Amino acid sequence: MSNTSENPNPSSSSAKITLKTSDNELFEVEEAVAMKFCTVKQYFEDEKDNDVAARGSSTVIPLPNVHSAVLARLISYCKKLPQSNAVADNHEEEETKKKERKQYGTPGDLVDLISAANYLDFKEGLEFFNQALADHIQNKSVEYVRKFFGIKGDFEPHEEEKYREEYAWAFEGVDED
Amino acid sequence: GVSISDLGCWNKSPRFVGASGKIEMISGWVPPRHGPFKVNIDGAVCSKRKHAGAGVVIRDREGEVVAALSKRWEYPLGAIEAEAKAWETGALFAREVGISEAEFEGGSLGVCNAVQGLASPPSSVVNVIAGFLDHASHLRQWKVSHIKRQGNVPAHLLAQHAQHVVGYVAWLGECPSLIEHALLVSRITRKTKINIKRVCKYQAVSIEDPTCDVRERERERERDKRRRRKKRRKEMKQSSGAEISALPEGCIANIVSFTTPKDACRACAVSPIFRAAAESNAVWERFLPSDYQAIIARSSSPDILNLPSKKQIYLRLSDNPILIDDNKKSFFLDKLSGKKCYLLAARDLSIVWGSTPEYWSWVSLPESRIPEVAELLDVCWFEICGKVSTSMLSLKTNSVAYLVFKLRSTAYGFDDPPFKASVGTIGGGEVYERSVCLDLEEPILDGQILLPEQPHISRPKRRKDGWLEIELGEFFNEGGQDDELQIRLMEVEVGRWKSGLVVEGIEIRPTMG
Repeated sequence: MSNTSENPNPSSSSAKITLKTSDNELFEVEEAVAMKFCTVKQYFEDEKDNDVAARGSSTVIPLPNVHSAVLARLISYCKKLPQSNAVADNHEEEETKKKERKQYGTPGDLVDLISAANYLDFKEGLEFFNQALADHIQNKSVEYVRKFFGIKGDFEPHEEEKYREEYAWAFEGVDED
Repeated sequence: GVSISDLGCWNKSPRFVGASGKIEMISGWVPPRHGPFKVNIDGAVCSKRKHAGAGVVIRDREGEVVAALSKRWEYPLGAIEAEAKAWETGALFAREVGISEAEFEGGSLGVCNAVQGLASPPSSVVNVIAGFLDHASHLRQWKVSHIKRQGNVPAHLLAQHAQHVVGYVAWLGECPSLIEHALLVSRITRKTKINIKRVCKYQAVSIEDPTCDVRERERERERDKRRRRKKRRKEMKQSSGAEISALPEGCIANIVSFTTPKDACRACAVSPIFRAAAESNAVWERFLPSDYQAIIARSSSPDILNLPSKKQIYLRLSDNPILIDDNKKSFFLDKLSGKKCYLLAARDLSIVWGSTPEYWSWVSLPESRIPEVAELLDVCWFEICGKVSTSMLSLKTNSVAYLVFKLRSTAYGFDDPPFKASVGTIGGGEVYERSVCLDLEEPILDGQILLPEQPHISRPKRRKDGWLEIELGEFFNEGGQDDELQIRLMEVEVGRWKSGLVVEGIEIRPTMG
């Protein structure tokens, strides 16, 4: 960013950005947190380039696709962002991470969070929530996954049968529903 | 308005516009001119109730309803956002219903223009419009037309109806009764006596009669909610719970890529949209090792890279090992995890006395995947060693090294004493040592059984390909600096004569789980 010097406050960590959600809630968040959302960052930078003097730091960034409940959870996730999303070194660590991911609630919540993280282009969050949702379907039967997401397997019976035969190895030894 | 008598004669009806043309108004509903189906879309907002809804009606050339959808979002949207979301939903629904050509029609000129690229959409809906275009791109052909509100009443009613819906309601192959009347009105002006009474089954909770008492409706909704909550608790999450359909295919692919290859293969059987996501290259690129292209380039079959999909490359590499490095190694993928596996062929090993024809001979066997295997004729000093750079192995992975071999029926010298196996890196770290016995039979030590405190001696196992394998030791590849993994098997202390061993090589595979 070329015009950080415009900022009267040299400590950027205390700068706040206001986000407005779809239900018109206002969130004042630290710049460092808001900049994790690439969509916000982009908007913020464009805005800055356009009219720094006119609006300054009082810019409100609208997020018409994000509900306040979801944004609140994303921000709280941001604040305690795990140090790294790197592959766990060992089994124990992996289990701890899995537990942590489990805290993010029901699949419905996760879909909302993924949807919002996708819109906000929030990469770490997207990865985390995708993994959390993936945990739910790992090694589960096709029927379980359908029920889980409330979708119908609208394949022709013979088509599905053929596929299951071709990939029989993938259907062996899955968890009990 | 358009009368039923005009239906056969579309030239007279108001004109439709393709993706490149300009928009013209149509006041009443007319059958699709482009392709067999028309998809009418409308969005509704209800700020008081803090939610938004979408209605989608798919009709064929006869005006028959093929499918309809009423969907609700638990958050309020602006008018344009709701309309755009409705379009995205409409395109996804059209896809899921399985139609390949569609003419999308709605009442918002802004969205109609935006999806056709005639005007740039408001920034708040850019990604929603992109979502629409993504879904629509899966159709073979699609067009857009604009219709006046009064012509779009059925879709509008379904969008309004969303307020009584939990999640969404879809009708397939039948007509929602609440729009039957509107269908007649929007299409027919003169002839009114047409009876399209059809049985209407609801697939999910909804209130049929829009005229019933509001309080009654509220109560019914509460009851429904309670019933649904109970049901949900009982059978995990329901459609309105996860609502995966709210996510674009790219997102689903992303989720699938966080599972395993095995999960992804099963996901293909879940539904067409899952299949599309789970077969995408984005998913399988993640399962393939990052250096798979370089490895294939070292092989005698580089044309594998030309396979049409990454999934096929993956399956090819896991089902059929490829020879690399001048046939000195064989490479394949562990099918369940996608981790790298190697066989260091006998020619890649250092075998003491291996180049002396009296002691070891080199033969080719039809049942071997490598051109030359080593046959032990007779030695006292048995020592073979394989080396591989740790950078070739999968990172953060525990691997086990096996000797892959056969014993001739005339073999001797392998029952006792046990051989010493060791696995470890040259650059320090733990060296794994164990005693192994290549003989399938239990060793008999001068008629005595093994004392309990004696170290465990591992035994060979028979492989599916007819060869035997014995575990030599394991190794965890931390990554970091490049090191050399050394795998050694020897028996030089007692020095009995040994003969009849056929060595295919040393195989390195990740451990399960």
